[in-house]
Amino acid sequence: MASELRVNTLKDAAGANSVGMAYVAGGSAKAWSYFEDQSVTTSLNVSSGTDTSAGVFDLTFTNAFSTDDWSGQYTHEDHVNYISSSGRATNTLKTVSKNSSNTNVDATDGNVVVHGDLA
Amino acid sequence: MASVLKVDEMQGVTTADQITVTVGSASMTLHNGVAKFHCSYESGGSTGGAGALQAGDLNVTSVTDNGTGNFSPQFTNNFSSATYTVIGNFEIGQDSGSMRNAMTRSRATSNTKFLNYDQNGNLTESVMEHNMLAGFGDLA
Repeated sequence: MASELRVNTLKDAAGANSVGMAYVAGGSAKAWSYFEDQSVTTSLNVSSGTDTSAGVFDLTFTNAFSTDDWSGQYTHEDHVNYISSSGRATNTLKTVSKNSSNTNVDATDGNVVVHGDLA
Repeated sequence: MASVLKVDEMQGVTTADQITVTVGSASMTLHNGVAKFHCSYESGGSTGGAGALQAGDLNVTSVTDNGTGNFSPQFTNNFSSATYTVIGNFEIGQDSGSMRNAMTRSRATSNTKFLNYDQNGNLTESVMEHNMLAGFGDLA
């Protein structure tokens, strides 16, 4: 039978290792994605990925964030990677990937994790 | 009313790994958003030497030193597939200088590889100190 349990704090049976539900909910990643060659392979809360142009890959979230001030990290397999402010919105994130010559290149192995509050 | 739930293990009633938490107006499965590993290890710093795993890691048993600027954290419990998400960065002991970068490479279910590069695109570890990684996905 499905059930709903409302608590403020979780502890192990010995009463140690306490964590408040605010940390469980707030500290959990609300979106993440592993993408290969500008195509989403695995993800959480990502509805689609868009190959916008060479080295530029946009993610769209299934459930939007409450504000566009989410915290995102991006790591990939080439030399320079960052999240572009031009794509920052409650429901989208833009990644940019470059090689050591500062030329945009498609990420063969992109990883994105986003924390924040959902709407 | 404040409440405390004391348990050693939580399982979903209908499906063992499906415990839903409400975040905002959306609901999500608890384990999906939880990091399955995180760690900090030395590469070129002075605390324990290259590849020294720092205390406080989760699900990392050791770090393999593959060569200059090339390390592989080894997981205690493997991922179910090699398509997990892993993010990482490093710190250096200076506030200025040339661009440096870190990247993932050659992932496996049992470990992931993390590389440190200098401004010329060469592997390096001379100025890097802590390398900090976290991973998300399903465990085997």
